[in-house]
Amino acid sequence: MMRPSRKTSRRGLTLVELLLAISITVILGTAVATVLTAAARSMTVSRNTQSAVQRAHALQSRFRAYTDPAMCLLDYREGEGIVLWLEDPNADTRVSLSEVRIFWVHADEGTVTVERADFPADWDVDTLATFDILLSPGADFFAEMQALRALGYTKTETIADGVANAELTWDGLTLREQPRAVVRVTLQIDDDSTQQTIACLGMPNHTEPQ
Amino acid sequence: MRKSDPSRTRRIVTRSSRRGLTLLESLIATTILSVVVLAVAAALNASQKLAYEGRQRVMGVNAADDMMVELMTVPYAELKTYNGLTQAPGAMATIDGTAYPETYTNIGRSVEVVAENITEPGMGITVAGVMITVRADDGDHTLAELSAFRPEPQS
Repeated sequence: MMRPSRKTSRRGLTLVELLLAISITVILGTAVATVLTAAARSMTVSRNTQSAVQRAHALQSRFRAYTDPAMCLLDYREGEGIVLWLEDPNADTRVSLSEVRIFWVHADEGTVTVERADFPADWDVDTLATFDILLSPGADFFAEMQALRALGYTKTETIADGVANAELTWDGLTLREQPRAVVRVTLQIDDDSTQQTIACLGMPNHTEPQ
Repeated sequence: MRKSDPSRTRRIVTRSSRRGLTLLESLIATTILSVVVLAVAAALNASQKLAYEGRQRVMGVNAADDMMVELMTVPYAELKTYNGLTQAPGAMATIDGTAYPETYTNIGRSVEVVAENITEPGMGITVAGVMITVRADDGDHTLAELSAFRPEPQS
């Protein structure tokens, strides 16, 4: 009595059953793989966007740390950088090199750096005056800072990376007259995509130099 | 009494373990798999939603902060003209008219400028000025709200 029952339970799959099982497994597997791949891609895009938003926020904060107390934006060269008159400790409304900060845009490296004069602390007043020169409004601030850099008296810090491009726009005729301007930044998200952001820069203490 | 053949018993057990799945077992397995996949998908979806909301909030803070920075540079006498300024999502622009990039499409903002006197009780000083409030929103919810007092300039 037991034998036929055992034989039935030992029966293998028929070809149709096997093909059906394989087909269902393949369909299910493909569906699951598609869903998971889409989810993974979506997560990657989301993570990259999140990172870009955080970087935009950081970039905005770092720019503002300089521009909020600043006096004036002195010059801008597309693809090169922005010159900021940060402070006027002598209150003489004249610009000396140590009062200037230059934001350099290095599109090839994808960074924005800020450079300032950095003189030895033990210099006397006369030596300092030789290097910390007063600059006329029409001076080439970029060239002056580069000359100082060649002598080894500047310090540079990176304030942003992953930057494909950064450009400054403002309303009105001259940059110096404006108490505010806008930096439009293109952030590199990955090899193929970028994201645009902007940061408004305002100088409540705006003063034009003599 | 008949002795059992050990090799025969082993063969029967082995053969029995090779039997296929019943329909019920298959259905249970499929159901469990579906529940697991659905749970994972739901978790991923929730995580994406949270990440999106987080991004919106950061961008809301950026947008509100931008407007506040601009208002701090506007001449004091003109500040009240900005009271009630509203920029709907997708229509944000700087005070000078620069449009915001596509990234900010879902964010709008509004400005409130109210005259206010702040009294410092310890020193007995009252400072006249305006309280500026900037709100960023996504059309339904407030994403960020910033307030700052700007004192009236002394002539």
